[in-house]
Amino acid sequence: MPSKATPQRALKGARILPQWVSTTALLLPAYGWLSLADFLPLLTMFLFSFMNKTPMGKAPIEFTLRHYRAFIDQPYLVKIAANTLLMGLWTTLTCAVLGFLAALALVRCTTGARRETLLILILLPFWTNGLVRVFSWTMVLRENGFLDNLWHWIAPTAGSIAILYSREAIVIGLVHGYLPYRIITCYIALVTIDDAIIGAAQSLGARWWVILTKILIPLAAPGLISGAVLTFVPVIGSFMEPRILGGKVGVTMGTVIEDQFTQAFNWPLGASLSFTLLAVTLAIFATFSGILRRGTGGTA
Amino acid sequence: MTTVSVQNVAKSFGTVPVLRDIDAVFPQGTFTSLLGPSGSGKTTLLRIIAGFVTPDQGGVTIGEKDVTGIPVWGRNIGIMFQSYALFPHMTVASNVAFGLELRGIRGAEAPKAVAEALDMVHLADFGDRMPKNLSGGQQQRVALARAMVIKPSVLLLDEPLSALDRRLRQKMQVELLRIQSQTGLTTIFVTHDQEEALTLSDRIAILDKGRIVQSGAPEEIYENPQTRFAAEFLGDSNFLTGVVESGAVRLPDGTAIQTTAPLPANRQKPTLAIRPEKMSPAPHDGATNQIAAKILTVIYAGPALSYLLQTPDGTRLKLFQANRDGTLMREGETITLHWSPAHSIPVQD
Amino acid sequence: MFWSGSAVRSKRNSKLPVNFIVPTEGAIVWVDGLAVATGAPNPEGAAAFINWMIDPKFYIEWATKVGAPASANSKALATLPADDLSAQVHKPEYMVSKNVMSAMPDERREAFNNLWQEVKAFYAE
Repeated sequence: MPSKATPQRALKGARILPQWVSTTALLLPAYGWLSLADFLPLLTMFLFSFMNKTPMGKAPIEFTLRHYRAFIDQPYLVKIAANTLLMGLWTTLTCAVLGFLAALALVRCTTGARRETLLILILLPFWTNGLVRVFSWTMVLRENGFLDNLWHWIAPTAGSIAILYSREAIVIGLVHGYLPYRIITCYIALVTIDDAIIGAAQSLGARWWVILTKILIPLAAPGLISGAVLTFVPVIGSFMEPRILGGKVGVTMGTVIEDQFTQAFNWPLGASLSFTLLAVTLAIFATFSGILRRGTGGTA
Repeated sequence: MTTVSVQNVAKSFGTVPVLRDIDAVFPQGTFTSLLGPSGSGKTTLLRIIAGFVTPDQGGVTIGEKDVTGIPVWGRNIGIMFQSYALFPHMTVASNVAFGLELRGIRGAEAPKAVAEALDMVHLADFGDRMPKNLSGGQQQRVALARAMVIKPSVLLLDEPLSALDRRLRQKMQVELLRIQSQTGLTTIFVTHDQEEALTLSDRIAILDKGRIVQSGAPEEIYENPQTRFAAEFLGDSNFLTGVVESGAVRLPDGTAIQTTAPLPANRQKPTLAIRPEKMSPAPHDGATNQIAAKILTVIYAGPALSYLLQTPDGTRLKLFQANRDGTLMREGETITLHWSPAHSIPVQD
Repeated sequence: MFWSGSAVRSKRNSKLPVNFIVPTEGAIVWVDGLAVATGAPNPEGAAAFINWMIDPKFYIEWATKVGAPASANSKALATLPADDLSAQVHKPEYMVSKNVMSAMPDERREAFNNLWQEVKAFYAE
């Protein structure tokens, strides 16, 4: 009876499909999208970075390595890059400390509905537009702003504490924007640590700082590293916060690169600066994660 | 060696009382099981002794010292958890050395103590392994070595064997008993497994709804349960209720049940507990403590046979018998059960 | 520093005590142009709009009622009141020092942008 045999054969046929076929089929949409949305634009920009001019109009395009010499030809860029990396470092460090402590408080001191409410409150800044978030800081940090007025009310004779248009103001704005990422990555890392592990350490005589340095931080290291990457990379490329909160001092690699694209119409230089920055970032993380892995005993 | 005692301890979580008026002594060198169903408060009591939970009232003494106000890290206790709780980022040796380091034991002394502890749990060659490369039983043994190496005053075990399979659990029970008796360490063991409690303990404390309902040696509790709960939770029991009449308990159908235990006054209605293995099928010859029952179900369990029966007034009874000659009685058969008056134990409801 | 049109509005509409002058060092000048793109869907409409924009009548109304930038239309300029600020832009002594913006070769624009970036970096310190 063929009508009965056919579905059975189809079923058998489905079973003997090699596993790599199904694996490929499952991964294809994600990786297809990634290569389309991520890889293709990056590749285009990489190509642009070797061109002598922005490829628009009729002028012939020549290929050159000139733009990769920018840091030598324009030495002031080195200073800007150093400032930018410093800004990234401060933001990443501040976020790391605040984020870790907040996540620790969430994991160790809250449960159930209260923890969920606090998590939602942490994510709340994401619901507002980034530009609004940054501009709202100008109201707080400027002279006669919220913070300054509060200070005058507490200490009427003291000077102003307004710090708008300073590097500190930029870092404050950036920390505000990226702290939720850090809290969430630290939270995920910490919440998986079994309470009994901390209990065991306590029973063996460990006080809080031993538990923090010998247990919690090493176990949360993967979360701390991924959180650092998630903060550092966008921070050193940021241009909105430096522009709005930094004013005159808000000159960073982010604003320089943005200028190349939006004002100077020099896409090749913007692209080459971006890739140089990317290389520096990758080098920093390769070194940093190596040290961290060795420092925590290496669970690999 | 240390005696641990708990005085007048009570604890509520929010408005829910978890422990009420707990007084208990864990004599030095004894192995005591805290046995009870989940929610009985046994784990909370252990956590109060360890210092993880602060009692609302009452205190804890370890040895001569009142430790009520002392945090966990100052109590010098060894703990084993159900989840092993090894430090996953440290080698086996580093796990064991953790408590030694905190006690300032370094240099040549520390590796020697670590090696001894690992040797004690038969894991001498496993020092360089990471915990995730060990089996569950091996991890639990590392946890034991880690707890023992600091020479704790008391060993607290929070259902440490529950995650292991049966054969491994039995092996670990033997290990645990050997090490406990070798070191003479006062041990408090939380479990919901009555068989485990009976096998391991010098003493058992049965907890129900935040109270210790009975404590004593295993055979003492098993042979003389004081409450219906204790009779049911430790072992199995049949219950018969009747009215006291001239030194016996008369069941509703008129049968008189004899007991050697003192009975309450006439017209009171006590409950009698009779262990299923103490009953035996007997011919109807007019002797005392006989009751007719119909066999509903026969459960064949290898070395033992278990029967579920029903009396004419509807009371369900259980009967356990050693399997000498296979199943002798069939479902549907009505038989007469008999037991000695010494095995009718009056219990509180 | 001000756009000339803004200066006019400040003086006339807001009655601010301002005047329009060009410093001796010079000023930047550029000219806006209007054109119809090839293949535009409505060239007649576009032409009509341009004609309206360059009509002296429109410009005079804009300059006297609102405040407009300086015009390059001599007919329109001739009919403006003598004290109109827009007309001052065309003073002969100003015309000498003005730099009129024009298309720059790529190399010079790049050098200019890099220089401007360096200036910003210098003042950011």
